Amino acid sequence: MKELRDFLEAIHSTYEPEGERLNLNNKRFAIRPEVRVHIYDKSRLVYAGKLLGRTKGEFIPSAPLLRELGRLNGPNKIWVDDKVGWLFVCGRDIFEDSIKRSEGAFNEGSYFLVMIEDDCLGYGKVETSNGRKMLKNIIDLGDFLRRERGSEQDSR
Amino acid sequence: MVKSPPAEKRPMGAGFFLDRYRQMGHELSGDERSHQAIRVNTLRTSKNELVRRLDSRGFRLTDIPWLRDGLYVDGGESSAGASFEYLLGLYSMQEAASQSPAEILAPKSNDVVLDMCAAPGGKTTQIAAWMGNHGAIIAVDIRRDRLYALENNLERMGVENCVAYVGEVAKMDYNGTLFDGILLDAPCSGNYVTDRSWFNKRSLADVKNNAAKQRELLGAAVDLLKSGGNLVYTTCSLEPEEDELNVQWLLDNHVIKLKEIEGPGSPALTDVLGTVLNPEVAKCRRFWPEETGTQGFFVAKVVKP
Repeated sequence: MKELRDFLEAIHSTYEPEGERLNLNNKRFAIRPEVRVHIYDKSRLVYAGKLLGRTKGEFIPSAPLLRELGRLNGPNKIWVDDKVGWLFVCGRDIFEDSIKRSEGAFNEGSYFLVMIEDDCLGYGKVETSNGRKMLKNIIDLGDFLRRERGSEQDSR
Repeated sequence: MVKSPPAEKRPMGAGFFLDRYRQMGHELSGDERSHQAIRVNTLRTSKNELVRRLDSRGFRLTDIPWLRDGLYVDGGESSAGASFEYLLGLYSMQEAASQSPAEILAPKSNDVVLDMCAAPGGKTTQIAAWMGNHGAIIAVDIRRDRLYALENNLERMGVENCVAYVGEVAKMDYNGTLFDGILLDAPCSGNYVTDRSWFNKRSLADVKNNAAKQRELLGAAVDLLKSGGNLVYTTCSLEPEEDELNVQWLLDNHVIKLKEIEGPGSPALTDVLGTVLNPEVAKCRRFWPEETGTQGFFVAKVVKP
């Protein structure tokens, strides 16, 4: 899973998920042996074990992976307050002056996890816009609500 | 000229169904609604911690006394389905009655459980929480479009012990696996509490059609159950064809026993509109909306000797 390794390197993490790796279309899973034995028919399989992420050109980490990375020492992280965090999960970017504290050098091109207290809300990439440094939103947990609305519309 | 459907397939209207419920001993208005409820995701947090966090956001939470992880929810600075805690998978929106089947199944941590009509996955994630993410859950649904919601729920709630398939659950090859526990949350006619236009959509023909499909699934479920294993059969229908009469059919056609269900609601009916059933059927449970403050619901617990 080169794309996972590249993502982990980008946020300066050395995390190694437990379990066998499984690729299913664009989804990447880690699966324990006692769950793996219940894969009877891969052609009908839609989900298995722990979702690590999806590949859509680049690797998009899953919520469980973000959660685990948020608990580790080592990855680049920024902390924000509830208000900025809520704007982030609504898809907005984070300007440098809204950051309460950070771990890792906030340099252009670097990737950072976005935290409120001990919870990881997503991650982004440092960019500069009109001379202001900001974290450009790549993925955030609000994606669940957007997907739920999307699937409601799909099923109508 | 547009042909109208045959009389038996036309919606029967509120009067017809409310009169049936009256004959079953329950005066319902047809306007009953259920109290908004959430379920704590014990894979991610404790009830006390979640209450502390949601309380600080203005939500008023009350224990649901007959559920391990359920809370009624009121107020709040935003919708309960759009908070940090929801996005972080600390709870799910789950109506109170629909939290009872997984609690009644009460799977053990190393069980292998089949969730037969699993999407959108609220009960699948609840089963995973009961199992502490150990053992294995095989979740199957025939509708790919509904499985996207299940995938989202598994991811958000941090479930790691599930494999999910799209397919006809009764025809899938499980490589000889017999299950310690099976949840059959059967596709059903639904009920008016959660669907305001229900009375204007449903006919007795729908109900009978659903009941026939449910029997097929029930028969398959018994075949897939390990000796000593538990099957929980549930519908959100108040119609006895989908509930007590299906359990009577199971008793007549399969070697099974029923386990007594305690808790809220009433014992299931044993005299259904003039048809007398096996007294054992009373071990199942019916949730009448005016008694429980929930949607209409039915649960049976079956054990294979």
